[in-house]
Amino acid sequence: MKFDKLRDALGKFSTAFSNNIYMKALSQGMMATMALMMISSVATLIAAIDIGSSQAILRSTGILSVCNVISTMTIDAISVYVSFLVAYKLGDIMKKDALNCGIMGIMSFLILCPISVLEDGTFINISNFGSSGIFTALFGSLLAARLYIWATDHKFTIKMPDSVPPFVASSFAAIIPGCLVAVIFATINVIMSLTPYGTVTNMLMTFIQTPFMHLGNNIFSAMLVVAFIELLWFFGMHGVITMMPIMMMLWMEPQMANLSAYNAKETLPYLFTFGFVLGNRGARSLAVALHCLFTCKSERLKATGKLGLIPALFGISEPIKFGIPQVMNIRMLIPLVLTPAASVLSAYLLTIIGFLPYTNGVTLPTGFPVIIGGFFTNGWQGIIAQLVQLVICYIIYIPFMKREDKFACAEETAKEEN
Amino acid sequence: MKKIVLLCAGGMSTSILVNNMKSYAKEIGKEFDIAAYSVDAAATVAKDADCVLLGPQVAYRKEDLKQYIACPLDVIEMVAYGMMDGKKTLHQALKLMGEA
Repeated sequence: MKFDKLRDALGKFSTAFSNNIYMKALSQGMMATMALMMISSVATLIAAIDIGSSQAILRSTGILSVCNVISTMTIDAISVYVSFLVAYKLGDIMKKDALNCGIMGIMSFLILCPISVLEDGTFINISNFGSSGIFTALFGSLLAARLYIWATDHKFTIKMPDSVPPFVASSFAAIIPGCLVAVIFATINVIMSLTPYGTVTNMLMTFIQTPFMHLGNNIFSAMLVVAFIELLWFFGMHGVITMMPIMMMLWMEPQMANLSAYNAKETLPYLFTFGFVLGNRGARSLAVALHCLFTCKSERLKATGKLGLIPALFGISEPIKFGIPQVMNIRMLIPLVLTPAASVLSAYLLTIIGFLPYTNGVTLPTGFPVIIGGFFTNGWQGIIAQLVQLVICYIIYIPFMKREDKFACAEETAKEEN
Repeated sequence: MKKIVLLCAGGMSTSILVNNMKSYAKEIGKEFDIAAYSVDAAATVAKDADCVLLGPQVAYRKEDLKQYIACPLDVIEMVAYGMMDGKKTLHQALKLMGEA
């Protein structure tokens, strides 16, 4: 059967994807920065409160300075953390000395940063640490950690006598592999400075970052990805988690760039960000739960709606997805895939007509209430946009839920007659 | 006390199920240590578990997880999961632990 083949293919795709150690390290490392992103988001949101004379109060009390320092050292230095975390996670996944790997990651990243010697000191421009350095951090730290692990595995180490405490022995074991990593990265840095690009970051920007961003910076990619997430759900796979590495590559840098700009009260540079795409998929499960509660006659669907309503309000879709069920239910495939694509399209249209401001890059924790979330990322217009999406999802689901209800009711009467 | 660990993508939807399992356990007069976590934390949280149940949305990780998890491991049945059926799921856990 064709259907089974497609499921197997997708299963293989997601397993290959989520089981690949480098992909795992990238996505787990990026996920680990979530805490920092939230800290930064809170600081940014506080600094942005603008009601009456609130800005003057924030400034005179020094709260603004506190918030700015926090943002600068979190979001504007995110690549430093990423370089450590990704390398650490790779070490962890490969069951090697994760801490040493992490240190190699951060070292390689710092070595790749251009240093400027000025009259009053030696400087690294902090903008190298921000979102523009993210690809350097991701690939550099993976390479550094992998090299380090390769060198230790091949015993390029200084062997200490057994009487030396293990802690000391471990730091000695790191010397030769560590030197190897340092020399290789320093060489890359020097070679880069001789090319027209000057730095690795600039080169990656030209060859990877910019093409990636062109790839992500249009409505078709956004619609395709959100629809594909739901297609994975249809086969019972957690779509967002599976697609996370791709989404991060496409939209994390714009997300961070927007947050930095929002923080600095500059014009937001990107329309398509991580938050825009993920946050404008519409409150689909909420729409389904509302159908269940208000229009469905089937007892089973009513019960599912009751159960799924509250979780759906907090963006948790599993009760609805497995309860209706939408998973592996061919009757639900069309609305399942169509609703997020239509929702993100509506958000895009609202943006280009000038109604919806760009998303500010604030990262909301999972489980944040839907609809209201729009306020924190786009202002009051965000709430309107989310409500529009809810209505769109509700309307798309009308014929499909009607049919589903008929099926469920027929099932229930059949059961009673037995 | 037997420890039952539930894993899903973020440990959130399973936490609803955990509550339902706990209240059902109370009903039948038994006590278990039941908790929900993210599947990525499997290696640490499942170390001393007596059985591990996976949300169907992360079922594809089952083979991969076997290398970290020594205790019995199974996937929660889809409809039971959707209906957040504490009774069915607890019975599945008991069966896994050889207690039913």
